[in-house]
Amino acid sequence: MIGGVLILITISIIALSMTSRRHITDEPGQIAISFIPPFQEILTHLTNAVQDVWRHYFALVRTAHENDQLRRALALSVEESRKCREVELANHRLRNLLNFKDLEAFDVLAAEVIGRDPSIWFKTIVIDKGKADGVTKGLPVVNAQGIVGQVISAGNRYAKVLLLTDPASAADALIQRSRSRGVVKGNAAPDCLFDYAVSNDDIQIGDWVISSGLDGVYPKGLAIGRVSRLMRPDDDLFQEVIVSPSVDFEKIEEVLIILNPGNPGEERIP
Amino acid sequence: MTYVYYTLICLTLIVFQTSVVPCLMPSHFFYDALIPFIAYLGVFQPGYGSFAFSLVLGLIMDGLSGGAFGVYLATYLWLYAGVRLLGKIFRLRNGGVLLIILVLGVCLENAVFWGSILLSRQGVRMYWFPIQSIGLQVLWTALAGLILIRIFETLQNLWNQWARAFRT
Repeated sequence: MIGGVLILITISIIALSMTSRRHITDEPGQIAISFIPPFQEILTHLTNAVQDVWRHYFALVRTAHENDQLRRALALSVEESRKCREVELANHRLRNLLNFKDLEAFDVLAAEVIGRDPSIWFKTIVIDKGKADGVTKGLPVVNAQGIVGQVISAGNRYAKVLLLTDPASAADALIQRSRSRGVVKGNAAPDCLFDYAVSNDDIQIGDWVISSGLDGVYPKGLAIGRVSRLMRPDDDLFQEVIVSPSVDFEKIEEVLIILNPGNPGEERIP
Repeated sequence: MTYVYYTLICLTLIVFQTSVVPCLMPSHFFYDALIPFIAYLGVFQPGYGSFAFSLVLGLIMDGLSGGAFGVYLATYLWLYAGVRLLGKIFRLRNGGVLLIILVLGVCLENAVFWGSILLSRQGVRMYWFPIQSIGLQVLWTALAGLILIRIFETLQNLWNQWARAFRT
């Protein structure tokens, strides 16, 4: 410590004595002017840069706040737009349902699909209406496209619907054009079977299949689907008829439960 | 506290596969997410509690499903029992063995469901068999089954830590 102080004092004395002996007194100033300004310049730039950053930081914060506000406003607008689109689509679907309701004289109850059977083998949905709304076991469920299925169990606020494509499902049916009778059965597949169609029955691909009303569940004249495939084995009494359902079961969101299925309406194809 | 965790997981999985998955993709593209959970219970949490949960899960799924009552119950109990039995022979915590168990579980479920349909529709021909859907289920199992089991394990550890801290 003492040694360091002594060295500093010595250097100072030597430097002071050298400066005092020079004649050109501005030489140290020249050196300083030549040597220091670049550092000053750098420091100045740096300071200005820092100042700029500092000033712009607040500006950026303000901009960021403004940006946040704009983003929120945009998100709200997008959300509003999405809601409008959703309302528009729901409106379209409900209009279809209401049109259907107008056409038929049934007492119907609209319900929303809230769950599905995850299995590929069984086809059921859960709806948000139950006994409290007048839903009971056995009631037919339809939508604007045609028959959806049948209520198989009803809780107080929810009910389970067996879809037409479930293997346990069946509906007495008619070929609309030729009036050939058969039973439409689910098969866990996207399509259904039209069973018990006699070999010489007049059935063609594209024919509409409708409910006959004879099973005591589905009112007469509701659309089931169209014939999509025909096989006529030579040695068999019955022909094999595959029906593509008119309802898109993967996209059902709302359904109508017919509360008075005993009141038959007229045949109606969407 | 463990039962609360089981209940939460079960509720989440059931709601996920009955309400969320159908909105995201066609329902036949995904597999029963409860199979990995049953396998997890059998491998990592054996005991009467796990057995009881498998039973309750089966009953709940049977209640939601349109199939013959007892098909989910039978599947889950067979799966649980099978896993416990295999546990006496193999080291089940190995990833490869777990994956095989999950794939077998998916196949077992489909076999039980198909069998129940055939039994209930005696004399009626089945012209359709969902080979492609089952293939997709197996693929999903291979991709996501082990991840699900690891998630169950991690969540259980976190839950146990939280439960211990809550008690003290």
